[in-house]
Amino acid sequence: MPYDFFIRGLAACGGGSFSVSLLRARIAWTVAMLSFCLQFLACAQDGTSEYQAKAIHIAKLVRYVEWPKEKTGHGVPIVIGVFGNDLASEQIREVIGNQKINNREIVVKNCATVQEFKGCHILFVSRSEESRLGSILGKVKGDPVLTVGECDSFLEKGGIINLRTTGRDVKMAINEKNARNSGLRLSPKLVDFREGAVGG
Amino acid sequence: MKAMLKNAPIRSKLRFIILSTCIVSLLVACGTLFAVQFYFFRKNFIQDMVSTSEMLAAQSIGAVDFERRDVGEEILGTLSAKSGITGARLSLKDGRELSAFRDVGNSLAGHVAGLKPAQWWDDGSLLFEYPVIRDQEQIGTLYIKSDYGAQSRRLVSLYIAIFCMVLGISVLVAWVISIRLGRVISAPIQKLAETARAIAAKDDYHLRAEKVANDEVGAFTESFNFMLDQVEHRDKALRHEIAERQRAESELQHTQTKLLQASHQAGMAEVATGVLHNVGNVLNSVNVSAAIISEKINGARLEKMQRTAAMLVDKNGDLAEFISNDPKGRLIPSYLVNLGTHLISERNEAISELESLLRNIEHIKEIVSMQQSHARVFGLIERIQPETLVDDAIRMVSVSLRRHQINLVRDVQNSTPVDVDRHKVLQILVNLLRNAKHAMEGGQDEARRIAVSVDRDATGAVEITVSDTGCGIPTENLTKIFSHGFTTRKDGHGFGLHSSALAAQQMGGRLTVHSEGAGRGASFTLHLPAANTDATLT
Repeated sequence: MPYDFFIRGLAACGGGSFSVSLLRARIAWTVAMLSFCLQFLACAQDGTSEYQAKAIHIAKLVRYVEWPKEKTGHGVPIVIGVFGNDLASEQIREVIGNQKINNREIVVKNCATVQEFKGCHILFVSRSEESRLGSILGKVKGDPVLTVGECDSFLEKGGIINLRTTGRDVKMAINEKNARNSGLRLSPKLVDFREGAVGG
Repeated sequence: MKAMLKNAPIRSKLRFIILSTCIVSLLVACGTLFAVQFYFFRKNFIQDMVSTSEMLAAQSIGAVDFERRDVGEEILGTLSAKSGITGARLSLKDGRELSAFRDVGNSLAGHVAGLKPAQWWDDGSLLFEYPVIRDQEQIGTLYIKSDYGAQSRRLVSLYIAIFCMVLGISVLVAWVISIRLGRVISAPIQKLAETARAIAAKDDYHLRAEKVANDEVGAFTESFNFMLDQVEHRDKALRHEIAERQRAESELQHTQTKLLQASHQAGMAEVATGVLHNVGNVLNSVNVSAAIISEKINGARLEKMQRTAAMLVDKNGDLAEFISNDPKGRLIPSYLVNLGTHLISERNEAISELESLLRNIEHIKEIVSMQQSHARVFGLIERIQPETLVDDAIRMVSVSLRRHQINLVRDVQNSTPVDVDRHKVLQILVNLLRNAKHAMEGGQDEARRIAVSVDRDATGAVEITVSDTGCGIPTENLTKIFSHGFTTRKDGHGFGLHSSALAAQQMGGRLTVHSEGAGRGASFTLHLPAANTDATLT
């Protein structure tokens, strides 16, 4: 998380004796800070935040995923569950809530229970829940729920799609095997986003 | 080129034909093949580009939709494996560039309409603009630029290299084959030609060409040999015919010589007859003159004068009385006066007759002299006035003309000397006059007329024309009247006009005829070149 990095950076350059290693740490921290500030400024400039960008990605993902028939009835809304950071939930709802994709309504809601997890079409797990990722993903394992995360180890722990932020860009990575295990069919158009591919 | 080939040996012609046929065939075949290849290359190139564009556009949906520059670049990067693509670009819906591959320039925009792809040519490059469509919605655009010109140039270079290589090998093979085959075709022809040359050089028609094969050349050889048989046969016949003709010509020449002599003798006889007639006529006059003189002398009154003189002798002594008183004596003076007058008259008449006699004798001398001059040898060229020759000729036939009561008119208009053999000209003119006389036999007396004129034509040559009012010459006979042996008279030998024409030619002149037709008279003209007055005769 950038904020943690920020705090650790401050701690690192907070005081103490001057040495080469310390100088290097300070330079790295300064560069990191500058980078963070630039990212922040860029997002602020075009008016989109990280979660807004990720919300757009999640909305687009609806078009590339095929759920089992029991979850795709006519008029059945597409439920996007958000677990973890409330800010993420708010911003995702703000961007794609009440939209319609392929004549299906988008419903964004906060999820906390396993039943709520399994009722979702897409489950977004924020990085605040990184420590519990294994148990969360284990609970929806085998269910047709498109799990979307933002942690580096998300795909390794059984997640299907990971959205990482690099600068202004959101980079998507897919674990097709996990998708198949969940009974979901991903569009071949996402083949370039597979884990290990250039984007993954 | 055509003339050079025309005179080239058959072997070279064959080689040229084979090589040119080979080259033309290759040109046509390779041209057609390359055209088809090029057509399919272009078609396949476009199809390939369409397929590539379709595939890339479909593959780019995710990259465009999620605006992944790196994925887009990776997708476009696969184009590096394809030759001929000079650039590509992925654009988002709002026109922003997502990814690019090499340089595509600035000419790519705005061709896509209604989700349909577009393609167009720009300066040898084929450009594609493909919409990136997701769920019937264009979310971006794929641009691809391919250098078709470079590809086609490479292909053309390759084709040219292949063509040159194939052409070189084919020409080499065709050349070797043409050498082999050329011998098969040209060798029999060469043998034939050598035989023909040998025949021409040695004039030996016994030679025959060797038949080598049973093809067209073999058939031609057979025909050639058959032709040689014919030529040999005709050569023998021709030689025999030439010998026969030479013998006939020799006989003809001999006959002509005889005829010439006969003609000359006939001419001489004609001249002699004329001379005898003239001499006879003059002798008649001489005879008459002598008779008159004799009569005058016999009829003279010499007896009376003798008696008167005797009477005067008797009266001698009384002569005065007798003359004065005697009646007879008184008549004597007047008698003597009359006698003197009469004697003077008789003397004058005698003198006149004697003069006539002398003239006639002189005429006889002239006639004899002329005959002697005509009897001289032919071949002497003299410069002479043509009217003199005309007068001599007329004189020679005048007796005959008078006997036949033919009127002759002589007309000399414009005369100039000619260098001729007098006797040949006289022979011609006498011949023409005699023919004119014969042509008027049986005609009315008052219409019988021969006109002899001397004039000069436009070139200055002398024209002696003998025209008659006789039976004329039919048109069909005008062309053959000078031919040897041609005559319309029962007793004619057909040599007179022929020899006259020859004689005219020998003197550098010519003899022509004109007639309006049968019964309308005829006109013969002897053309003689005027004497060159600057030159002197030797």
